[in-house]
Amino acid sequence: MTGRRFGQRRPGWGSLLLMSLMAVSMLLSACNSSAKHVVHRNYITVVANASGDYTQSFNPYNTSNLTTSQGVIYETLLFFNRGDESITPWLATGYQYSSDLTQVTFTIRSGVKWSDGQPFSSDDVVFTLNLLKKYPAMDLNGLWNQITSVTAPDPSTVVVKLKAPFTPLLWSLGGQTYMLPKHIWSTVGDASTYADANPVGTGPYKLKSFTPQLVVLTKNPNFWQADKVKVQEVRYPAFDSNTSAELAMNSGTVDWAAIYTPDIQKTYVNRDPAHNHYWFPPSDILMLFVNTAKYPFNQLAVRKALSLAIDRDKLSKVAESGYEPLASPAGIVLPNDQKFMAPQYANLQFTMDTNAAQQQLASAGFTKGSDGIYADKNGKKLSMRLDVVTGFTDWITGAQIIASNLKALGIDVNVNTISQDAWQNNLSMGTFDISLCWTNPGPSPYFIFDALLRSTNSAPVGQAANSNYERWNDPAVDRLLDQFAQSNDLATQQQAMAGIEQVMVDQLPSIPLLNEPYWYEYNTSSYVGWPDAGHLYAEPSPYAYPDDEIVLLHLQPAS
Amino acid sequence: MRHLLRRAAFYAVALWVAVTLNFVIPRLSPGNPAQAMLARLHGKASPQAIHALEILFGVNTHASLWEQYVQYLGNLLHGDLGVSVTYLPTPVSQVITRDLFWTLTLVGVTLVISFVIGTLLGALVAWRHGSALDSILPPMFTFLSAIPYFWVALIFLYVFGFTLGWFPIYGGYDADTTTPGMNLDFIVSALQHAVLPAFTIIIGSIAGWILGMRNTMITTLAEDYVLMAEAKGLPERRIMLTYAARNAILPNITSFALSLGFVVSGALLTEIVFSYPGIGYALLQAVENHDYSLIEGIFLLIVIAVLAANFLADLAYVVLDPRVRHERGR
Repeated sequence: MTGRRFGQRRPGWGSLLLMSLMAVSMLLSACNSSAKHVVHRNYITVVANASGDYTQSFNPYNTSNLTTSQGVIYETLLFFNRGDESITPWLATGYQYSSDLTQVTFTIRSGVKWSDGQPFSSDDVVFTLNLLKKYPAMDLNGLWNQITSVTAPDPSTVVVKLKAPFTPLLWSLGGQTYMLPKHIWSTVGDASTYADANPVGTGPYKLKSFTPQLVVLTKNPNFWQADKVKVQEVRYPAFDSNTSAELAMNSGTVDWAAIYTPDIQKTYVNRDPAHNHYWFPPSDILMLFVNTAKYPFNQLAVRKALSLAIDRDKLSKVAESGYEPLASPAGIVLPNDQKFMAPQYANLQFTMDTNAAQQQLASAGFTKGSDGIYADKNGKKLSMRLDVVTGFTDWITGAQIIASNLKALGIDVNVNTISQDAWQNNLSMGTFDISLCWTNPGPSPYFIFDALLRSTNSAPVGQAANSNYERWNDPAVDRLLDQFAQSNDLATQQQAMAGIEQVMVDQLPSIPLLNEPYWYEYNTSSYVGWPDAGHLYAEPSPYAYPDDEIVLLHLQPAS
Repeated sequence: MRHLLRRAAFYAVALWVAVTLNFVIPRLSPGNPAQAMLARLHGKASPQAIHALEILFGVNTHASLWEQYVQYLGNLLHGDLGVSVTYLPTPVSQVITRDLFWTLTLVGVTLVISFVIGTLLGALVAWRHGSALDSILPPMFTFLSAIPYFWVALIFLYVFGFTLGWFPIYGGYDADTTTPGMNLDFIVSALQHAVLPAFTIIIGSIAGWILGMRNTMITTLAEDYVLMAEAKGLPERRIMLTYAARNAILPNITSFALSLGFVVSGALLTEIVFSYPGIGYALLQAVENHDYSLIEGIFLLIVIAVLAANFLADLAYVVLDPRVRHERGR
């Protein structure tokens, strides 16, 4: 056909397209080169999580957006450092238990103002606590399961009466309940669904500007420790994924981040060794949950065999890039919970021992079939499903390691990679065999043990359990938890914890694997004073609240 | 007129079916919003949090599924899409309008660009069937679009955004220095931020248009009327565009209309890689969080857009294809 010469007059549509796109991009990138590389910034940029655009809600009791609210804008009465388990007075200058431990009296700090200039008083504290009673949807820590009444005898005193002695409440009450201004929140209607678009708090920052892609907080001049605030502005850009967040961090535009990345030394630190740092202190324990309501996981020998067969060293090094050290068999997070570590378990460590695992199975009547898989007396094969979350790449690698360890022992494991909500649902409902999951940390080992082991946090299979997903029901453990909770005497509490540690070691209600860390990367080119191994003044992640406020107050301009 | 009424009835039934499925399907998956939120908190919540969250999200309300369905239809009729759980307490309509602008501009514009360029290139390579251009372009673009989009996007982001620094790494605009609105700074910044995402989308989708057009065009070129046009000595450009391309473009128009409908569903992978604002990521979040209202709202939007686009395609056929016009005229 003659027409084939046609194109010769216009050579290369494709290259023309490419060239024009290139030209446009050059032009646009040329516009971009200004305003970068400002040396002394008066702000820091924070990436606490990558969960997409923001919604303009600063309600500290609304779980959809906590980072830009808890701590930085709204404050608590006390500050609990989960790292060393110390307590610092904050909006309260002190607290006092009655002798029978059924009453806590807080002394409220005077001279504290809301960011709109109104004074903060015991009235606001009483109002906030009663609001949680009125709207149970806000009572995320179940305070009113324990509290009977809250009163303010005078502007600087708040008296909280409890149904019964329950000392762990001090953390949720003093350390995790964010104070709201009565003069604003008393007129907002249903406070649990109130957006609080223009927050008024007592904290070091207030809202400067909001777009779904960037929240900017600026210094609150009415803050009660205003002289400590050296960071003028805190910026929270929105990220959809770790990928772009990590590139932003690696390019030096992020000062404070909480991102999991496999080879951080190479991808981040080596890029600017003088300024780029990371530190992953332990938060809680990554457990292999075993469904003890189900055969064969109700057999201690099977749980022991599982635990003995797992190569935790490999889990730590390969799956978690060496960031997460091995967990203590006692279920204690070290070094945080050091003072509750029973001396007899202080040096106890997990070691992989396939022979011992085989002995365990043999002692329980399991025999290996011709296919190399153990079966019980009735010929039922030892076969199980290991649940793990899609997209949690480190956990998936870990699950594969566990599966191959158990296969080597003679247990058939099917790694079941499912969505996060399906995984959570299986745990809650008890429709799992074994599953990887974190635990619920607090400023003492009580919190992990209470969530993990208390029978009231469990439920029959088919009903939703709060947190005791493995469904451990042991009245002795409940009594030990009560012993801890009904006392504020360290020796009594230590004794209670030692009893539970013994259960963890001897009965393996859940199988500890590794310490779960706080993810934490920081850049020292603009600001110094970040928490590190020698300065654990607060949990360092921007998603640890209200620790985020404490960290910001420690920052100083780099000289 | 009767034809038009029949079409309208068809669209109404399709809409009702879609809306109903939209209600049923999200509720079939296990779990609920409270559990999903608990999982999102990564253990940084007390065991009691689940009860508070269930109250907050209205889980375990004792209304039967049927009552919920009636209420849902009623709310829809009043234009009330409900409140998003993911972005509590923001209404779904606000979440959608927040993200729709970005999605419409990015996905819409790239769709038009890749449709126009792809179709023209397809016509051209078919016209020059067997030439060097024909043996290079389609395989090249097929190769490019065969590479998983995620990977291409990451490479572009890494090379042009991170290593060379020509383009921004994340976001829809520079939120640090510009404010959204009709001002030059914002528009320039938004354009800068859109180049890489747009370019990767075009690279990923253009091969389909090229191949579709090329293949139908080659069939068309063998038709007698094209030969006759050549015999009459008409200019080449006119033969190519008015005789061959006009007839060959019909299948491409259909898929263009369908794609146009799906524009509102966003470009999920693009949004994830470039942290670009848009509907796709909101939909993903909604699904992960059992955010029924938001899922329903976004799917409703998609359904309406797809039906509308189909209707437009019907109309376009009437204009482009005399045979359709003729049949309906009778």
